Amino acid sequence: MPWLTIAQLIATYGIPFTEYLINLIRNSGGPAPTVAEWAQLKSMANVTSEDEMTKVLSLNGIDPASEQGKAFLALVK
Amino acid sequence: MKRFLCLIPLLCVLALPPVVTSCKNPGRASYTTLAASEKGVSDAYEAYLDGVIKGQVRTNEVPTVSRSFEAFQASMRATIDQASGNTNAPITGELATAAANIIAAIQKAKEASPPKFSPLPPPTPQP
Repeated sequence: MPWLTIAQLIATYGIPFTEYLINLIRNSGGPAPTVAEWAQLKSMANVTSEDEMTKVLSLNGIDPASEQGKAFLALVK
Repeated sequence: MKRFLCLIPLLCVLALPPVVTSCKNPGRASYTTLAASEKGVSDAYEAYLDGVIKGQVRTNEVPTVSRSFEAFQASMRATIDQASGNTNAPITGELATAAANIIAAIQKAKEASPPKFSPLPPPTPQP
């Protein structure tokens, strides 16, 4: 995998994930999670593979309703 | 290097228990570990789909990886339901297995030979 691709992956996913982890660890000494926090986590767990593909298509500038987008969405169904 | 990058989300999740078990609130510890697992796997799956769309990864394994992701999400929902009602509920072995399965599926898909077809043409600019 080319270094440019690796750098793009790190910038797009690695850094935000690391920041998320750091925030989690910072809050790990806090009180018990609230109902809202559990609900937010549950909503993350409700995301389907189709939702993820739609999101990534949009990030790449591809209309999910286009022929190209439909072809990719068909892969995850 | 590729293998290491793909395993980063799983390694981060596995490294969390020594950190979070030191906290005083077991409910917060469960939440932290579950949230890190969910975020790590979701980001890994998104990165994989990004590679598929850009033609860097074969499309052959997409159905397998997607099924693994759905299985992981189902395990995560069940674990969240359990943990949110019981602050001492541990991460189930089934969830850990589901997480390992999807990471392994993504790793296997990326290690496969480069795609033999031409990537789809770049998208037309949106008005």
